[in-house]
Amino acid sequence: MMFFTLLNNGGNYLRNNYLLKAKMLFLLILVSAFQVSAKTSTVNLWQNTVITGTVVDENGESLPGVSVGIKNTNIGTTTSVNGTYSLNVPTQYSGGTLVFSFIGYATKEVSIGGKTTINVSLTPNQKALDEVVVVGYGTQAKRDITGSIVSVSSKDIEKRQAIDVLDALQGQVSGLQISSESGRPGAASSVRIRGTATLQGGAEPLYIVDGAQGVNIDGINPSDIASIEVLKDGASAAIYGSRSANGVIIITTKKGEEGKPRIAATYLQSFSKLANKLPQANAEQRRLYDFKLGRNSSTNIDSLNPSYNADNDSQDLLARTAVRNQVDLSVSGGSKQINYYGSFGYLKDEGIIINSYANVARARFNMDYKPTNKFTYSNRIQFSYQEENRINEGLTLIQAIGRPPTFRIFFPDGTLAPTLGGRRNPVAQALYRKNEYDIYNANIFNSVNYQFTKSLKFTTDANVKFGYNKNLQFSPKILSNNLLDNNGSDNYTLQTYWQVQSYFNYNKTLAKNHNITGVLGVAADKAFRKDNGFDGTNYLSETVLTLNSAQLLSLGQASESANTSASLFGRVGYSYMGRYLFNSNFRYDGASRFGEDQRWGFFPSASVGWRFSDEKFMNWSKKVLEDAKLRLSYGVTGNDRIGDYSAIQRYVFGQNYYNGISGVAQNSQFGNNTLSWESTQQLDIGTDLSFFKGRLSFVADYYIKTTKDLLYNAPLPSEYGYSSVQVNIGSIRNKGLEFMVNGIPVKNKSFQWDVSYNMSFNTNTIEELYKGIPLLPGAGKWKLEEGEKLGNFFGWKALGVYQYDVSNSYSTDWQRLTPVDVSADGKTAAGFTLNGNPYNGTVQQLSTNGNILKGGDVIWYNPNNDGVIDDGDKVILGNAQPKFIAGILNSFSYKNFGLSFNLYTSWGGKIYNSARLGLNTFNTVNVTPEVDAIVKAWYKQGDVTVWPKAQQNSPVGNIREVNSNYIEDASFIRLRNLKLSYTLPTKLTSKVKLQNVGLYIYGTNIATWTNYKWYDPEIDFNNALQMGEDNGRYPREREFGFGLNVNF
Amino acid sequence: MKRLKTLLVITSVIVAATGCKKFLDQQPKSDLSSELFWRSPDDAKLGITGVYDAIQTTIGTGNYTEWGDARSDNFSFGGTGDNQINVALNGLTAVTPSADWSDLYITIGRANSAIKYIPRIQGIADIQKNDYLAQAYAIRAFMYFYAVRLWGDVPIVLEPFEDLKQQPDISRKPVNTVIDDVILKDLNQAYTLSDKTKINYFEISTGAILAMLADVYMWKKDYPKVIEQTNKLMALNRYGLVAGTDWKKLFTDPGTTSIRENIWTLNWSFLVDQKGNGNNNFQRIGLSGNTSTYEIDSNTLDKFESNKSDIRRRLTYDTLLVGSQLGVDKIGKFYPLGADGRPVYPTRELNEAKIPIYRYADILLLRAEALNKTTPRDAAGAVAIVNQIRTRASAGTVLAANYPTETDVETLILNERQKELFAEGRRWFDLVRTGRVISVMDPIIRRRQISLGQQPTGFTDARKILFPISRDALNRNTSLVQNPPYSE
Repeated sequence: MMFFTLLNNGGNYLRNNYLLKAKMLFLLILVSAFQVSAKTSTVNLWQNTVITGTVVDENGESLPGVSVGIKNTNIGTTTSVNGTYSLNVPTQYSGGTLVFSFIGYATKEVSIGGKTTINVSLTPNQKALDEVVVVGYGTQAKRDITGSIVSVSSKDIEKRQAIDVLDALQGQVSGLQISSESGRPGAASSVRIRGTATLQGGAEPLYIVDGAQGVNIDGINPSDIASIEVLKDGASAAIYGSRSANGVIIITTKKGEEGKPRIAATYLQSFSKLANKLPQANAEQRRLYDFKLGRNSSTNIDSLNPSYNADNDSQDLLARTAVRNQVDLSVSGGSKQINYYGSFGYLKDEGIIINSYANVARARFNMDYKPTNKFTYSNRIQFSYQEENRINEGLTLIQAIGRPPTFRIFFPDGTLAPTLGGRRNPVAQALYRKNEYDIYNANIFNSVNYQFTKSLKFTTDANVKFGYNKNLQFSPKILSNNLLDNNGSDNYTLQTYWQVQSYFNYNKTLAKNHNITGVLGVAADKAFRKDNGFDGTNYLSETVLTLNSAQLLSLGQASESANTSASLFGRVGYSYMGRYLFNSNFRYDGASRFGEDQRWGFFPSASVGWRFSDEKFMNWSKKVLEDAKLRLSYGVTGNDRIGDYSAIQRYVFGQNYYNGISGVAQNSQFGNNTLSWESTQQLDIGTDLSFFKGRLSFVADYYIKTTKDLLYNAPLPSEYGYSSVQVNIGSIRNKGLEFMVNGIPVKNKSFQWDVSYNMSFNTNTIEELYKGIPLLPGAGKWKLEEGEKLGNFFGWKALGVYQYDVSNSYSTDWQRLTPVDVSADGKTAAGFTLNGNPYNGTVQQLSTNGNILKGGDVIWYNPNNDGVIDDGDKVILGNAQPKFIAGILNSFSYKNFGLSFNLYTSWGGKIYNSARLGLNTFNTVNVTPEVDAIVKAWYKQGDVTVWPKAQQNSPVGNIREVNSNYIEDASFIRLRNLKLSYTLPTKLTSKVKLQNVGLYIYGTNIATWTNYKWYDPEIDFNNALQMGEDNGRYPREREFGFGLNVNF
Repeated sequence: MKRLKTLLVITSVIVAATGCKKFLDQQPKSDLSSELFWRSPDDAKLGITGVYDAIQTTIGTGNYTEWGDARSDNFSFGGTGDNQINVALNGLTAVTPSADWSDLYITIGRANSAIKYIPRIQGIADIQKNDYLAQAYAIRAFMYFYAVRLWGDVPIVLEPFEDLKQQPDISRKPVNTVIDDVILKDLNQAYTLSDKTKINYFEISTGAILAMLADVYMWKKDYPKVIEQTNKLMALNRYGLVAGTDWKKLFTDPGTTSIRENIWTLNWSFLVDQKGNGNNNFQRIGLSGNTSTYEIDSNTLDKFESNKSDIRRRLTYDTLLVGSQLGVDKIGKFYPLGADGRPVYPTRELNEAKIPIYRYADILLLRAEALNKTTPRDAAGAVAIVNQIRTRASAGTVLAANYPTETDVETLILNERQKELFAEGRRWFDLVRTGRVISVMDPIIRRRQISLGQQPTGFTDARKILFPISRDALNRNTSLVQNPPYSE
């Protein structure tokens, strides 16, 4: 502010000195950080009036740093530490207006009118209904929204120490389910809005960043986000027609605010550990296991060999306390004509498994330049670089848990042991195996808009994205079975994307009460991807890992693909006094991925809103119910996320070698040239209620979402010579209810309590499949059939374990008999009873794979009553999807202290714990089962247990995949994060010339209440066909940290 | 501002104009759309290569052993899985991996395309074009021959599938129809078309077609035809038995021109075939650093061990392992010997053992069987062939007088086949063909069950000789009916 005052008032001798101006600008950015509130400029020549005053907040506390300026001029100042200001007002402005503005507070205007003292009190702009939300191609007042849109502000995001955008969103929005794939640093997340509505067509929502599609959201620093809007219903999303069937998430990054440059710096450090360790057999229990297996002589239990007589805790050796360091810096500011926001963030994130890490650097530059009232140029530039070493869980964690504790990990000289008895050394695997990623992303978005008239604006923008992803893998000799071979690979992916959009916005209020809005525009885009890579073997040097070191090279991958789309879109909106609201979106989209005559799809929508609180008959409730609205919307949206060339019958190269020739053959997926859009019709009924002047608000929505012309890879009879065909047939229906309650139960001068609760229920049904053929993905571990839900586990149901051999006795109609007076060897019984009555009929026995089940074998449910347990006896064992998800966010502030925490729950889903099943198969003798499977295993005739006998090479499949013993309840409640913060008193900070200093400590993933037996019940659901299998993912850590925020 | 307005208008016009039809027409970049293939002479070569590649997937990644050996007395279960135990104990179900015929029909599908389109390609010499076609026909027959031996009745598809609206009949057709109307017809067609001068051990040549014909007639028990086909094969004057000193080279170096015994061997290169996975079939029975899926059965080991002068004993497995703690848990037959005379097992990633499909010794022994079965019976001729094989292997000769009956001679030949062709995917089919499955396997399976603490139920149900049809195939093709007694 001082700078502009200077330019304006002392302009005579500066006006022609551009060089000096530039220097001043540079100085401004660098120095103004340390400048105290402006004292009255001494170069002011014609000062006439000095206006002084104090600015306070709604509680009467002084507000430092408030901008005070004369309207429509560049004259201004900011308030001092104690909230006072003093401003020289040139005579010509003495009749003008003073503008007081401060971030987070409503701007206030006071006319000078000859006064020399003007004291004001500012009120926070917390009135949610005045907020503006970003919708496709424009903004809308929050109170006028007719669809189901949830907005998350930067304030909500600051309550947690988010690593990325999705981490910032989890648990904050009803109907939005986010699960990270694992606890690995840099792990991706799966995101579902209102359930999964497709099989393979891609179920992730569409992300729009500052108006552009295709931006890599991993490249966005959460602290750069101004707001996130989640468009859940079909009518809101339909303006993004073709790609919006899974909902739309709109991210808006921060802009500079008019005023002095603000420099913000934050630093945090945290320490993470394995949240919980799995119980693991110790050496004693391992020996018991060997005993139960009947292994009396084997090299592996040689009692004199030190390699096999340790007692290691492999999980401890593999896990560590991981340190995360994060620094974010941002500079922002602006004038009437220009505003800017620049940031740089660096995150160094160690994983809790040794040698795993992700280091991320992210930079951003946002600028808006408005040289005239009509013309604006904006850009959004972001760049990110990420380096990671990803650990293979199967070779480390799973090995660590199954490894006999007796097996040594280190030799006495500290070197790592090689693979012993077929068991890999998890520590050596973690330290020596490389799986390094370098990921670069750049995104440049340019936009110009021109305000033709007050109501008509034209915008055209272009977004260009570039992504490069390099993956180097290497496995040295020490990890090979014979210690002689090494191998590796080097792969890269190059991706480019561009999009151009042009559209008109129209907004006019007629006769005061009729507001008409409109959007009309066109867009086109193209995405390109190229994958290349080589595999290498016999590297000459294990230090040089580029492919020139490998003695044998083979082609890893080589492919290129591209797709294009073109669109016409529009919106019409009408509002009568904000009481009756109507919106209609449409989009007409063409996509290259579909059959030549099937490329274009039309996606219309309409929504209406009724603010019944404005009706006269509601006057009685005004005191309590401030604002109330009913919404109804219906929209059709599309999904085009299939392979780029699924509609073309193709011959493929490079994977059909024989006898030194690279042959060519039909792609095993049959090309379907009739492929077209998958479309989702969604009906949404919702209400927004606001009570007690915004102290309590309630939003609820009910929806029915039906996806038709389902795009998925349907199985073809293999007799046709193809394995599958991408079809456009079938239907899935999602129904759900979701609500959010926000309240401020306590609010007084020094204490405030904010609470927000959200909850979502969703159920889905597969309505139709291609020719009614059920899908059996994952080698039959799931079954998807008409009339059932997605994510049904399909397998055998265990009913217990036979106590005696003779316990496997059944009546002629396959009812289980109870043996009476069983002989000592368990083979015969004096008699049988059936339901308590003596049974004298024929006795039958269950068999499987040609073998009769005996004592210690699992009792299987035999639904087809044929006496043979085989795959005809598989039944649905449960469903992977939760019945509801909910989150509660609480924040308390007391004077300078703040406390916030977030509980998150997912309830009613099941997980197939395949990692645990893999441990317990007894097939590989050196894989140690879980403790119960050893200690409680059936051992002799008469043992009563649910754990089958430990037997290697059992021919009866006691641990068959999938069986109900390994389908576990995935319900959990998690204290997701907790943060205690303290803001230094301004009196103190101002002495060291800082505007604002905050300190905090926080914890993430602090506690989880669950019955789930593996590390973590929160599981991703990326693959709609194969939901809810935990094959031993990288565990999520428990993190505690502290941080510092400084604003200059 | 005026300039700006013009600029904006121009931009929007460009944007709108790009929405045209051409912009949305994106053709594959690293693949070829089907109308652009099967055009040039090179396409014929590449397309045929694609068919061979499908054979590699069908049998080269495990089914060679699973189909031809695993259920026989050659192997018992080893390693660390449920499946091999089920196979070794005759406990197959619809989810047993080897019950899946999908790769087999994908190979047939590729051959069908080749048969349809190669004749249309211009610019190839007829002799070359016909030889490509001969290979495609023979491969198709070879796949159907596997299919009928494993599942009995199978669907017949002879045209490429090219239109989703097509509903070809894919119900199961009787074995005899498949053999007579498809397999024999294709093989005879292949014989007519094949380039009689071509010698290539890794491709199907005239010799391989004749060998297949002999094999098929043997299955049909049409013994005169077997003799006729083997006569034709011998008349090619191209094949013979190698010396005992070269016996190992049949497997480790099959492509050498001096090796005249190999008729058709499936090539394998770890660099390009199923790369990284090293999915060569023989990883199941012997690999460095991994446990074998199947280990030699003790009965068969005893047969080998009973004649220590037989060179095939030490060339088939590492004799130093006999009687050791772990036993003979690996078969080194297909790998070279190291300086110490023991097999050098490759790692999984680097395994590129070649897979023998037909060799002269196999055909000679089939001929011997046929001689023993034809009228007039030529038992002496049969025993002479056996002795020819035994002599080459330094196994000593046998006297025809000691094998008085037809069955005795057949047993002699089958035992010789078992040793000579051990792990070459022959034994199970020999047992099925000669009706010996139950008599040979029932006692062995009982023995295995007892050793595992199970109640011995053995192999008594002859219906279980056929493989089950996979659950996946039943699910996709509702016109299929399961082989009883496997569950529907």
